Amino acid sequence: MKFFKTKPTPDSVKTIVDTHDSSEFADRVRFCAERLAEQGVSALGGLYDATASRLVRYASTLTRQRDDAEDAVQAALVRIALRPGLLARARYPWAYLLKITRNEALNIVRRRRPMRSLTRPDARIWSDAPPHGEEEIHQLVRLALRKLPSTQAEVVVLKIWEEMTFAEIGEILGQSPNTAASRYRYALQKLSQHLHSVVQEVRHA
Amino acid sequence: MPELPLEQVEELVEESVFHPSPCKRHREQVLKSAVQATVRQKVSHRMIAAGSASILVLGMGILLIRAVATSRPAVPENTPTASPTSVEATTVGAPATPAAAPQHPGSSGSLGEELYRSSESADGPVGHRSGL
Repeated sequence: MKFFKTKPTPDSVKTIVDTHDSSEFADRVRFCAERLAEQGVSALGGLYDATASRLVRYASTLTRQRDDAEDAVQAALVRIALRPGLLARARYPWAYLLKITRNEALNIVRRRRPMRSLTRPDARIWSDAPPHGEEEIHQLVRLALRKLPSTQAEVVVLKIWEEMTFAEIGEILGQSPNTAASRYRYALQKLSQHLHSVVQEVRHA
Repeated sequence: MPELPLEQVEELVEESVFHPSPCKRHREQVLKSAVQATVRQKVSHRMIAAGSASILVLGMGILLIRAVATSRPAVPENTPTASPTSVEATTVGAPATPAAAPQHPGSSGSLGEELYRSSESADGPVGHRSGL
């Protein structure tokens, strides 16, 4: 678990962690995490406002159900509220938060799998607006993404929507960067096959 | 089967990004459950601290009682009532125990000998007379 270690390393040592480019969003999450550690649970609202949308989006990749995704986010944030120091001291709080959310989402999936086989997939996931024109293509892309195995879909979401490196994705998933990269490649190939005809149809229509 | 170039697929996915807004009550639920969880955690921490403190006090009390109990038998030896003279007085002045009854001088033999001896002493004068 090199990714989340808080122990400082010498500047000369080049690790996987050093490949991370700190984004504005990641800095904002860090600020919220530090404030949460200082002020306690009263500062959780700021962290929620900053991250909830993205966390629900990522969790729904795994749960396939909007309600389950929200439950996973709730469980993750409650966990953080109980031990805010962990998030504040993490080297990359945003990635740490994603990992906690992933664990909670997988727990929910494991618990509810027998029940979900009897219910229909949640139509609210990844499609809030009625499709027309380009939006229709986007919705079809999201639909194609949903049809991928969750192990591949989450890599695509983390890589493209969360703009993470394969090293970071590998650490979040508990896999090697090469595994993450190969899953990403397989996912893109499947999407490519699936989307070719669909996109052509929509654009010619 | 015709395929889209992977770069184009990446662009399509990137353009398809969406920002789901969690339902309005979700924020309240999260904050409420977080507050409840922290309160529960504080209470449980205090309970654990109180429990461990009481166990510690109980353990120290038990140790103290044991220490007092082990030191108590040594106290009578030092008291004046337990002096050697009083012990001596009781042993010398009270021979009344049945087990300590004085034995006959020649009672070192068996019960039969004792009976014989007693009958002999009873017949003594008679024998003496018969010896006449």
